[in-house]
Amino acid sequence: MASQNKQPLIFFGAGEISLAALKTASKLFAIEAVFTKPDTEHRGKTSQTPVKQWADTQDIPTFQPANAKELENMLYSSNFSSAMGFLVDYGVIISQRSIDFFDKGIVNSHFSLLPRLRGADPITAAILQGLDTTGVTLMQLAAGLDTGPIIAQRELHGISKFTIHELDDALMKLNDAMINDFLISYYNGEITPQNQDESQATMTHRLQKSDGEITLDKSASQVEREVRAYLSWPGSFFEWKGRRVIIKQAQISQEHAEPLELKRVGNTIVLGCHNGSIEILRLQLAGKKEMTAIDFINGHSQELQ
Amino acid sequence: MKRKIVTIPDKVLRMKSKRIGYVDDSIRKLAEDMAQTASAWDRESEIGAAIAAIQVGEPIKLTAVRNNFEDYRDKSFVSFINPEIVKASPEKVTDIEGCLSVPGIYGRVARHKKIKVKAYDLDMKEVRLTLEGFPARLFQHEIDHMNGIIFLDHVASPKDLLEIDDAGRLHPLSADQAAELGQQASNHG
Repeated sequence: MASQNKQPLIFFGAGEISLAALKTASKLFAIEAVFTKPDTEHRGKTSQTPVKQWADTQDIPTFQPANAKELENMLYSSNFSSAMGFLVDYGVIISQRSIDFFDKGIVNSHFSLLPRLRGADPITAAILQGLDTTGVTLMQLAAGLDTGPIIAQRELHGISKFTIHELDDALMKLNDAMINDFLISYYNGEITPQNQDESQATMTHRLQKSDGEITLDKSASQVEREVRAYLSWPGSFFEWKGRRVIIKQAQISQEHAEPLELKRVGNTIVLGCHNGSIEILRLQLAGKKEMTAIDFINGHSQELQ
Repeated sequence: MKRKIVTIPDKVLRMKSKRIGYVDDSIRKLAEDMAQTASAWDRESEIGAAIAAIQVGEPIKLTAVRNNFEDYRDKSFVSFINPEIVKASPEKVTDIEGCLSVPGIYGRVARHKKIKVKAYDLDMKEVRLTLEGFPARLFQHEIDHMNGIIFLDHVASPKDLLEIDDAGRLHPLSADQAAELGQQASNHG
């Protein structure tokens, strides 16, 4: 029996979620080149994206353009033979000319049920909005922000209590399954993408450090969601006696407390919110290790009421 | 030693292969030749994944199967004698396959999703395999050869036939090409 060799493919990506997709795609396609973000310098140390590190171990040529224009120039001055690109969590908006370089365009994995939750942070947004269902969409990259025609989409249910780590993980696995089920079929021209319904579109915005601050106006249920959503970054935090406290795990409490008042109730700690309170189960004082509520109580019994 | 591959419309492909009762040096040599022939066939964008003895003109139940389907730089093969399907899932999966004896042409074929195979190795020791996915497809394809069947017989309609170009891309056949292929393939001895 004869079978087709793997077809060439060019991959665009950077972080861990990207890397998982690249590994799955590399079982189906011969990765001709990888485009990723430039190395960064931080306190004298150079750090490379997870995608770059892995590509180097596989002897796959890597390219690190500084911006969309440089990327375009690299493609057009190359002798790449790939008919298709695959982009996951790359963080650079690709130009239409770059997309046009590929006969079959560029496929993108977006971690939401498009047209809902377009934009920079769909995964965090799903938790912040208290959704029970989100999913992964394989999309044909187009010039706008996550507006391209949909190749395939799958739902993920039961996420309402997930932390960001659990959701990242579950969506990564779902994306892997979709890559295995659809990427080759799309390449072979067996799928006709469907346009998105613009009237259903919602946007998410890029997270900032200040989003993590627990302010007076945030309700208990919002804070509970933020704790889970911001677990990786920027963290859900408040100021207590001049120190920053980052909440690592919390649940809704029935105790009464004033907004931003931190009090001890028996062996538990409670933080008041706009219209209710949360019980803090695990926390971290800035600069120290993560600890349980009991550890915190024992260490600060004089400062807590 | 590389052997010549029999291609359609040669009627040899329609012969039924006989069970092997005893493995002597000539069988071992044939198995080696078959492996060499299949790996020499490798092209830019295609690999010879397996070959049946009938494809080099020998009507006996012997097949050489590639060890590594992912890395085509690994050109090692393993041989199976008298393979038979002892169990097959009712569930079928459709995917694209090709054949060394039908050069340049691929087709969508429905195969049993999971199968259990009983066979013998070159030392005539029994081998039991539980297969799904690509290896399951491959064994069904090779066992078909031993019954005088080629994959084109399973292709449901002309729109499921594809040809491969020099760059390794698949394109649907024109109506004329499909008709000609139908003629060539339909010889039943």
